[in-house]
Amino acid sequence: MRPRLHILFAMLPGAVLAAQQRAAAPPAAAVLEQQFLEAQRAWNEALRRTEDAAAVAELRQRRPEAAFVPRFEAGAQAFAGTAAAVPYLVWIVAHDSQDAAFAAMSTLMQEHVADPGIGRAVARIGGLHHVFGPERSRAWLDRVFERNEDAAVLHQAHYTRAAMYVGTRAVERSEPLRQLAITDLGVVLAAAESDSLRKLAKGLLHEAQVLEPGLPAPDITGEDLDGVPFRLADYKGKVVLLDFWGDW
Amino acid sequence: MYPHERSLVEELKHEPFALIGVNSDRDRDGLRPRLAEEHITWRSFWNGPEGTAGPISAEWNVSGWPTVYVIDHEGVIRHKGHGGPGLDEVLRQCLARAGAAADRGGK
Repeated sequence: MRPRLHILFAMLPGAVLAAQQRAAAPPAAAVLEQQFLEAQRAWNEALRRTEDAAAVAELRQRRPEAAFVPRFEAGAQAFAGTAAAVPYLVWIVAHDSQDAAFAAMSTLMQEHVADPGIGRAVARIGGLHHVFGPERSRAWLDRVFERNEDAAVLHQAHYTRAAMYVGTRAVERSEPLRQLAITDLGVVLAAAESDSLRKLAKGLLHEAQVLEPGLPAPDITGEDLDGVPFRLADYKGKVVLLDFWGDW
Repeated sequence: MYPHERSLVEELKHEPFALIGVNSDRDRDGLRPRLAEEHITWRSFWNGPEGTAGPISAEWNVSGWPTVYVIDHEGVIRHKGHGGPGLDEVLRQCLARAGAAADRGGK
């Protein structure tokens, strides 16, 4: 019977370690997110109250995201390899726009591509193509289409793919890609449950159909800033830079 | 973006070129002194009292400012984006084609 005692003692350090890990468990992703939103509100408020240009510039250097990225990374690390890591990784992709986002997105695509919780990260693929690279962005989307079965994630992937090929942030344009985008957006409009995603898809589909390079510009009829009516078509024969601007 | 716009207007004043704005400020009268201050000489449509939710930006599905389109001399869209580094090159190409078309028309 004596050897068993040894086994018991041998197990003790492991049990202590496990208890320590439980004690040091990271805050739940939802709790961290709540803390981040509070920090963001405080930061926005400070920005609103600050008038001195140098102080404003300094505040802008200290965005609340920077302090929270390491905390979400610690959470992802603590739950590495399990589904519990997903919300931490997704938050990083949604809020960082450099190396941390790239690392988190790579982990999501390697280890959690079938997870139903990756929709918000998939939404960022197109917008972060300058960080991810267009080739990798395309490969990741293909992988999502192949491996993920969640309807909301797939609808997001259809929208994201369309936004890579039409609209003001497109990475590449051609007639076949425009047609692919129109098909993708049709899928979203027909089946997506999210009203906000359907609304985005409706706007982008309109762009794909009438506002892409190679198509005739729609006319604009309106008034100038002095109230004098005029039309965009008045400028036919000239190269026009149409500039949507605001003094803010 | 004002300095870039001002320099384009100046550089291209002898070219078949027009910078046309779509302004999304809610307060058109409040904007007037700013036009003088910033030497904003180019013509703009006004997007109306609803500002960024106005009818022209809605029709063009604009959701980020600035958004720019380049429309060639035949009225065809040649570029759309947010004013990145490729813009000047697109304008040059369009102006070259507009110039070539004008030369052909003159002969």
